Amino acid sequence: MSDVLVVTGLSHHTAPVDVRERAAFQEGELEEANRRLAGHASETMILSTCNRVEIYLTLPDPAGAAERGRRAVEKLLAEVRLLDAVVVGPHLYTHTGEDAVRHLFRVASSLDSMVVGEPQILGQVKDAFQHATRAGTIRNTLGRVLQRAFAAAKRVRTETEVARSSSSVASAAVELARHIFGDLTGKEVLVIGAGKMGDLAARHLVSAGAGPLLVTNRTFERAQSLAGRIGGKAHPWESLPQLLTVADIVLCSTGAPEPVVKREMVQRAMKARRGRWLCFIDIAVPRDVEAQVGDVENVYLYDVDALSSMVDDHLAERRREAEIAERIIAEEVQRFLVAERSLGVVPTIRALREQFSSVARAEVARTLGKLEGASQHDRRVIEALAEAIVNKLLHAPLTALKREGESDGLVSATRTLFAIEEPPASGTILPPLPPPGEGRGEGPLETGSGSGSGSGSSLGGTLEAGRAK
Amino acid sequence: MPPAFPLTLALYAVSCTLYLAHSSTGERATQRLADVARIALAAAFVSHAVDIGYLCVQGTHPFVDVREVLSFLAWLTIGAYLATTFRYPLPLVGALLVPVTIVLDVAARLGPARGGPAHASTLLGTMHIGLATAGVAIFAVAAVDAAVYLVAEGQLKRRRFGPLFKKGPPLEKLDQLNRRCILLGFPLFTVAMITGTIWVMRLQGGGAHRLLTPQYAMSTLAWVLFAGLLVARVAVGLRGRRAALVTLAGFGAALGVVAIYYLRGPAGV
Repeated sequence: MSDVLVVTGLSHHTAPVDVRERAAFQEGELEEANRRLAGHASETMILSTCNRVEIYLTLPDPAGAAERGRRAVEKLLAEVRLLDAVVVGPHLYTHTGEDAVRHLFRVASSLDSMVVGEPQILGQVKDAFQHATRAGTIRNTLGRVLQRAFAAAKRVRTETEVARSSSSVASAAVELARHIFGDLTGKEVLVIGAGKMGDLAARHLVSAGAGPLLVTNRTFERAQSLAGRIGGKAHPWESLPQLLTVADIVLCSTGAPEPVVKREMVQRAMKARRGRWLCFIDIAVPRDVEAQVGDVENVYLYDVDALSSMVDDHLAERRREAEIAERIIAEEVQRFLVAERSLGVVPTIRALREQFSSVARAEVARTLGKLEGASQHDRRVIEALAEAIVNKLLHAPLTALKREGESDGLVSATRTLFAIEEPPASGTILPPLPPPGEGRGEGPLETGSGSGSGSGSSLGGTLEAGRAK
Repeated sequence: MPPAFPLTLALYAVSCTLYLAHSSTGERATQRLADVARIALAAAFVSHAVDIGYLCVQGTHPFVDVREVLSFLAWLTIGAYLATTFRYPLPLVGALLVPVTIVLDVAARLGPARGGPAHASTLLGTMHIGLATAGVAIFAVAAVDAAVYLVAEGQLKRRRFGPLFKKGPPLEKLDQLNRRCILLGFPLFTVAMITGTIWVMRLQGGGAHRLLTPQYAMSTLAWVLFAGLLVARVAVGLRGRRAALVTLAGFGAALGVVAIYYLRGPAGV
């Protein structure tokens, strides 16, 4: 029986920031959460960013996979994030099979991102992959689809202008700061938290002329490390109220579960600042800055949802490139599915080749036994001749097998014709394709990649599964 | 009607249309629209100056009639705006300011003659009217700038990032322009208040009772508001939204004085 790929989650498309921040996993929770899920699925991977929480599962039985996957995820969110299914349920989406593959490819390629083309998401998917690998919950099937997702993302990045023409969350932050201050030269930037997003956003601001940079973090060593990387100065966490009196732009990206910047703190800072404008870019989920801070006069607060609405405005400019990228994703998904189908016929191909080779070897041995005066050279020539005949004879049938994938008719006919008795390895064969003209699998197919390992399962069972919500 | 008025009006209209087109489109290429709008506005300013000069030669001094004061106010306002564009190229301010000056100029040219205040041609009268008009013209730029600030600030606060947001100038720049306009306009307005007070008290035997008029009360209110704004800016660092609101209130009071003169004539001087 083939495994089925299921993805269940919520994202900026379906859930407001307050739900996303409650559902988001802390980095330290990921491995344990993956292990908890392992009891419900063959493989698991949790992708948790500020804009999405998605859980990828491979389930051993396609029947009811969407519902089982969704229940497992709801249970996990209830246990680990204390998020009731009633709250999270309306925001969850589920994709299975080919839809799940396409979804993962689009996510990794940043086509599903809040800011289409933003570069961070690929690294975040790779991080999720590593967490799952360390937890031991990822093996061949999910590993293969992820590797192809990374390759697809690379193609999108190199063959389209999506990444270059789009703005990231970080560049959106720069644009907002420019609407308040105009020229950013000399504007002091305070980075709260030492995460990657804060690092990136700070670099964008520096490249736009802002600076000097101040960095603070609960762990002073991490603040020092980030300050060293971006050319800033680290300050102890306790000096945060004083830092707010001098900074013009504040970037927040801590992993704190509660807001670290409160309204009263900002009001005190604004008195000391004599009303000078203060811009908060809060890219943390959960948010680092109390929402009421935005009500303080001359203070401007933007969280990830606000950035989203701003960058939505840029979508039209990027639509053309995104359409090209979508075509690449469609090609890559098709190529992946073809490769998966090819995996299903590998045992038959191996058995067929082995059978022909063993017959040839036996006949060569018998012939050579009758040729008493044959030299070593003659023997090698005869062995090569036999091997060449086998290859020539098998070329057409093997090509046809690879092309037809796991079309049951051809595979079983081959097994019957050549008396290949052992059944295909469990989980390696795709389910039957629909008859010609009714379904997929009839396009141009790969013929040269069928030599992969026959071990592990394919995602074939997923191919007929639909999308469930 | 002065000979260049149709041309002046046409150039103002062209400039206004281009500024509005620039402000309502999101393309980067529209920077050229703003540049052409500025050139058209400069041409209108020159054409308007020709009109004022022509009327002077004809014996119609800018201060001898309220409607001429209106036209002069429109001309000075455009002059003040054009001067700011060298340091603060803010087309959105132009897009709002030029229609206002068109209304003022049309009202001046098509409105009925109101006559001028007695002794307007005296040194005190000329100083008072000239400085007051210059002060109000600069306050007009500050007020439009303040209105743009409030719109831009509201969009930034409410996180609405539409086409107007893209064209919206940076808040800090708008506030800087406002501060400089008040710093320049307030001394002119203050001297105008002083000369006006002396002038009015000397008129026809004078007396403090002559100051008990709505226009004097409005002028005083405008002066107090701008004085308070200036002090608050320097002393406690008032800026941003509150500064914009006080500017609008102050300009409203100053405009009220002009409106009273326009509607009632100079009898109340």
